[in-house]
Amino acid sequence: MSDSNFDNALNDCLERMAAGESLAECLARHPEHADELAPLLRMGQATMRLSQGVEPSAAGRVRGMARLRSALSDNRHRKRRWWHLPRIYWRPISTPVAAAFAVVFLTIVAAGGTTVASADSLPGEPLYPVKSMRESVEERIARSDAHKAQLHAKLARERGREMHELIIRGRIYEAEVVAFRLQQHLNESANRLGVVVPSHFIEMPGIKAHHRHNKSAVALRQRLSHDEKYVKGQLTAVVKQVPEPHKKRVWRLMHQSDMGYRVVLVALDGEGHATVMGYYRVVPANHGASGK
Amino acid sequence: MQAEIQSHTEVTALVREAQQGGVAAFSALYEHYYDSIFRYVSFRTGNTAEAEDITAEVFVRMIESIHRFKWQGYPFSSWLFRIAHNLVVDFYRKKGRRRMVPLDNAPPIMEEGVVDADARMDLELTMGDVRKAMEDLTDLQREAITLRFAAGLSVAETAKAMGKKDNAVKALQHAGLKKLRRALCSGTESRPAVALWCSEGSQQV
Repeated sequence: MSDSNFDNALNDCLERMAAGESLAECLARHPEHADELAPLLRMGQATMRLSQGVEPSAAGRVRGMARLRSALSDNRHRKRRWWHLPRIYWRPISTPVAAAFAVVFLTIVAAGGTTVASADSLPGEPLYPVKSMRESVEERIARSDAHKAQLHAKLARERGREMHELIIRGRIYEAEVVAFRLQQHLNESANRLGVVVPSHFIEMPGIKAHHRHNKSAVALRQRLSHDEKYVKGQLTAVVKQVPEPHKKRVWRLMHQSDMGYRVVLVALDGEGHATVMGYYRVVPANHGASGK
Repeated sequence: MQAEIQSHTEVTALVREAQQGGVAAFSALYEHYYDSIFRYVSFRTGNTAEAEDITAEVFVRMIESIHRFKWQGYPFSSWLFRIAHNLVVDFYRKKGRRRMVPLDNAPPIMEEGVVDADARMDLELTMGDVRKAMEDLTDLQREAITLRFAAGLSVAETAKAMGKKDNAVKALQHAGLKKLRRALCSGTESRPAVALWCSEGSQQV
């Protein structure tokens, strides 16, 4: 027999064994090659089993997902859709003019009651673009950095609420995207007070907060600390209701948002990253319990 | 997570949705392919931290160029692994083809039940032995073995990812396994786990 026949027999056995057939059963199919096949099959099978033990860390997966979302967000900025257009025109306008337009816009929209109705809307719903626009406007007209920091903290909490609602509706993918936006709001709130939140906290600890004794920083810390519990509570409550196939992803979302809050809180304290080290290593064992 | 996407049709639908900018589809593809791409890159680089970075980059490239992906009779996974392969090649090019001594060999998260420290250490050491033995293989053999056994691709998928014919992949697989065995089993002080793989003949171990 030619080499290609042996190659075919080897491959046939490897595929059968990957599907659950035993080595002996496979060798019985190719008795003429059995002696030569056995050591190679054993090697192939062992390599396959060994590779199954190579599991990515939870931290790596989370970082990868964050990069994916960031890239998606960049990509979408390049290809904005019509409901995003107003934001393009905001940027070149000076703040007072923008603020004036904003006030007019808010008055008109609020008069129609649309903004009120949009407050509880979720991503993908018809009124959600109105809600996004209102948030943009609010951010634009906030008087000071301290106000902007508070506003972003409020928006982070709102994103937490949206995650909760989306998960209840089984829209896990959208919840994952919202989780990324929650993190952006948290970072922005700290940044507004001059605190740089590390993008990769293990390698680059947060810069010490110069203003951490300021009233604004203390107020923000208090708010975030309170909101951390609120968002965690919301997600913890919902994780029990999630169907089994999605449980692991919801756990991951919960840890991710909780960690987001903790990283910002630690950065606000100016304590670097030490206290949150190891948190990334938390893996939901059996989708239920966790440990550091 | 991998179980959620079960058929080629589902992957096709997700890719189409992703090509139209569907965020959820990108997330689903990420979840579906993350582990196998990570295993492939991890085998090729031997460094957990680098493997995580490269794996993440594969998906960023996927976003950037998915609009150029066309169904031409080969599976989406082959296209994705081609990106992974190119990034691994870039990685070695940038490192001047130096073999990395992994500083960050954080133990991988084990499957449930494999929590014993000795077992973990044994797995790490065995992985080290296999990676070292893989250095004896040619680039093509290493690529074929890694795609087949670490990433779990079929011969057809491996062939498309490598730009080869099915028969060529089967031959590379054969020669690769032979060399791998020779390299692993020639040492007189093989680890017990490795020694078990090296037993001769057709008797069941």
